[in-house]
Amino acid sequence: MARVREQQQIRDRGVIKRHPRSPLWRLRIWQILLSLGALSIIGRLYYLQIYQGPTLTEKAKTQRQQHHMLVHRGAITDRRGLPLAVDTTRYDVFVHVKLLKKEKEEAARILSPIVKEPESKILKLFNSGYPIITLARHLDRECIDQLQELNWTGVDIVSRPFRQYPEGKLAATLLGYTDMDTKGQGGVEQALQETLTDTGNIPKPQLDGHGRTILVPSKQPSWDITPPLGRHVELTLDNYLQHLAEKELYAMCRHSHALRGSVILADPTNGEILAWANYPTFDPNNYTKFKYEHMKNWSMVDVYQPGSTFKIVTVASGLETGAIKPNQTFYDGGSLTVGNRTIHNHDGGHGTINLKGLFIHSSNIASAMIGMAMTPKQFYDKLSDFGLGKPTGIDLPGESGGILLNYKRWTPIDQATTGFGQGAIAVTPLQLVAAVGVLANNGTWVQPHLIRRVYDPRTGVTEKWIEPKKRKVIAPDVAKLVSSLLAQNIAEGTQIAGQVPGYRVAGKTGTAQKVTASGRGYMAGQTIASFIGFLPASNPQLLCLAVIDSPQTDGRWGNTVAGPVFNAVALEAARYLNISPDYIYNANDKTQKIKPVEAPSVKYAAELAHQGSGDAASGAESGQH
Amino acid sequence: MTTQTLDNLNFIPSALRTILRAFQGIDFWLLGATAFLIMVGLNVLHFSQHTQGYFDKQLQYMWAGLALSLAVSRIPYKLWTNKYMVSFLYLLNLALLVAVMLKGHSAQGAQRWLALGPITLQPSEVAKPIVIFSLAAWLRRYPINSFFDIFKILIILGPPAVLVFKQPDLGTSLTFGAVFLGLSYWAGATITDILVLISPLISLILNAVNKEWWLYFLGALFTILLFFWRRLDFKLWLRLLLIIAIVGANYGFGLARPHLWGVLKEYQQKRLTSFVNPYDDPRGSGYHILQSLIAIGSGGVAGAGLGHGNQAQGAFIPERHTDFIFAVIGEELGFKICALIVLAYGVICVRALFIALQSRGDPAGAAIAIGLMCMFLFHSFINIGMTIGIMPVAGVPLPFLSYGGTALIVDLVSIGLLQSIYYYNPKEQKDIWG
Repeated sequence: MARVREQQQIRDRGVIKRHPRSPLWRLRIWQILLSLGALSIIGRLYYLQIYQGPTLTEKAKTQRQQHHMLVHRGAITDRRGLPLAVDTTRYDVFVHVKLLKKEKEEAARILSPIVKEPESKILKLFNSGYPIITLARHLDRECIDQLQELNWTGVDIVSRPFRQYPEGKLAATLLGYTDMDTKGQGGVEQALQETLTDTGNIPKPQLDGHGRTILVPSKQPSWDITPPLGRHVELTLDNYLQHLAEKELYAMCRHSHALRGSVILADPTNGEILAWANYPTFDPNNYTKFKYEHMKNWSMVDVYQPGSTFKIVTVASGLETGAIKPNQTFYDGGSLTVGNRTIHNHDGGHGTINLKGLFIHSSNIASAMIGMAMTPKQFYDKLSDFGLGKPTGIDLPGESGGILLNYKRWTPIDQATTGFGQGAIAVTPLQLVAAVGVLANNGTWVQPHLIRRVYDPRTGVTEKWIEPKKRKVIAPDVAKLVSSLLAQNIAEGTQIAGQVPGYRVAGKTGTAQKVTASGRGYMAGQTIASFIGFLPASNPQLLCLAVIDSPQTDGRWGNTVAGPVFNAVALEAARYLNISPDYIYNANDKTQKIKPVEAPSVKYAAELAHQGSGDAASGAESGQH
Repeated sequence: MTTQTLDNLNFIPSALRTILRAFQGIDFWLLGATAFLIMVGLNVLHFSQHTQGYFDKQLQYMWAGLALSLAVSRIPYKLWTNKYMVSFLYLLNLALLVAVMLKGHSAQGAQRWLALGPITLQPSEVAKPIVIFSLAAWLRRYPINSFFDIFKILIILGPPAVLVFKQPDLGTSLTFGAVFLGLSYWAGATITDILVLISPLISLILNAVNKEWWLYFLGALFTILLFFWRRLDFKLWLRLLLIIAIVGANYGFGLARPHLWGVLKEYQQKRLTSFVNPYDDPRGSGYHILQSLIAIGSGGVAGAGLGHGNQAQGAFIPERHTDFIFAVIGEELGFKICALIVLAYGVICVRALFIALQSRGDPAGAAIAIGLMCMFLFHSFINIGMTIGIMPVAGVPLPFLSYGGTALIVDLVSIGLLQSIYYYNPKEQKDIWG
């Protein structure tokens, strides 16, 4: 018994020995550990869900919407609603090669005529080893019907929005094009990318991690049935006038083998551009086949020295600043020495001339004198007021601001040559239109613009009217005076430019020497021929600039190259717009000194037909490579 | 009210007393927290668009688990640590683990499931409580009195851990590691012992993060061990020798880090490191974590509502009914419920700790409670930490919430065990520490 008790005691000691320490403070360690764990998790949750919650919610939303969204872009129409760019549906065809029940060779043979791809290419795709191949993109309905008749497993047909330009090359440089990712590039397509794809209050679909649409219950129209439509955009262009301008410009450019050309037809009272033709151009339906150079709107991006057309601005500036009087006369001896440089007219001296003579003889000497009569700051400020040296702010991407050297860096010769548009100045054709528009609009500068309004495709309600900026530049009297001088220039001069039967045109020719690519000196024999004018001179409603770069025929003069284009466009546009004529033209009335010239498209029709394509409007064919 | 007080109420009919007794000694905190977690888990599964089949199954598992749990809660837990029983269970467990290696069927690159007639079993889940029983029994027999006693535990822990690791199931093996650390600490290892045990891991991490910190750490380790570690257990020269050996081993681990790192496959490396900056590779290794963060963050305070989480239902969250279910909860139920869930896990752990404290009279019971607490703590912390981007991605299920039959049943049975320990170690019974 004692032995048993002893053993029991030993065992008890063992039990006690096994639990030697008080674990109470160990309990505290556990508790600390647990609270730290819980606190760290709750703290982190607070940070994520409350502090960062809105950010992460936004992130989640964009993540669900960042996938490729199919949106029909809104249409771009002219001012009458005629479509220039519209969205249609085209189809992409994908093939799951392993699901095809036919032999690859046979399948390729059958598919080849339908998708219009060579058999060998299709076979190569089939053998490329990818499980899914893209057989063709942007197929039209006809092909798809044939494919659906085949009714093969493994052929996936996916519809997608597709941009079409029903008028082809018409206004292509203004519209731009839409690339493979349905993103607008250049022109209105780029400038209004957001607007054209703005689907208003239709919520964007949300896609899950596998790219499938999450069906969100909603009372609004949803994206699931068909891709929604963006905003429609209406341009100030007029389809008819655009056709007209392009036809005449291309005819002349092709006839004269010019490098490039531009016609801008605008309403000077409100800055709306009615037609804007550029040569060369491209086909936005098929843009990959054209050089990048042809896709740009050069008459907004590239600058040139305006030459004599700029004298309008010089004279207006001189009169406005008071440097010259309306009845002032100048002695034009044919040359003028400023510092160590000498300025010449192109055709010798004209003796003593007044302002009218300045325009009629296009006197460089007199213009230089006016330029020198102002202080550099006065001249510079006035030129700035005319909007030179800075972009006009037209609603297109990539506009250049031209060049207007700061007056502090002018030398006297710069000031003199700037007077006739060759010195410290280079403008884009668009800037010149805006600047001369000041005279046609009683001394107020109006921002030129191309976009008229943005409207809802479903209701047709206008969401945004485009209001151009305006600013006072010169006094109305001065504008009236210069306009009448320009009108006399046309009426009394001997030139063919500006001879629009029935209307008194105010205008000025320009034949500028072309600056070499290096920017120093001028190219021998190469000119930029231009004519800018507006009509009727007493109440201008139409402003038109024709610029042709490097013409090779007709003496390369502004008068003979750009003039006929202006005449043809202005006459037809005035007739089309119902502008009341100043007088009734009668071809038999010898007192009317007007000598109408044939439109280039008519005059050179036979020649251009001989050159190749009979369609004068496809003038850029030569630019295609 | 305890069993004893009930027995004194003689005026109650004995039949009724028996019934009432079954409701005595229930830890309602534990029960409430568990019920809340299961309710949330089932709701999330039920309202998910793509997991409705899972809901029905999970419900069946829940009933099965509940029945087992109720049974276990009224079976004396000492049955499981009986030396015959525990040997049997341990060997059965090893057999199951070997069987799953030989005959199990695999999913997602791991061979974890074993078909036994109509039921499919995940032996690595079953292994968790069995290993805890074994350790409890072992520690009752061989308590930790010196530093080297700790390593004796590995004799028991080693075989199942290796078998599980080979499946591969990194998460469960790490759970064993956590249970090992927790139980050794409870059973007598000092805090410095634990430091010695985890110091190689710290060395590896610090060496990768900043070499200077690593050297500071080695210095600090040396100092701490010199002043606090087992001052009475070893002779001075032996202590010095051991400390130098430990610090030297740490130095060696640090130096060998690039080589050890190279042993891991690239995807494993990325899984371990991507949580630090998931934005480095948002479409690759960081994708899981980033999506989880976005989902939880977009839940806000109130959440998007059950079944209305666009991130969760939109297939952005991977494994959204198992490992990443907390991200779904975060998005659909928001901060409020998330905090409550964390608190519920906290309640379970605290109650387990309390039960362990209360049952110190029986070291095996206390050890089981502590082991289960470690299991719950590790699972919930690692899993939630993974979804909120403060822990690396390790395949650990979230107790009671993640879909998975065996895991749910095992978790419920664990709760039953805790209740059993609570029931058989009433509070009034003063323990030997008073």
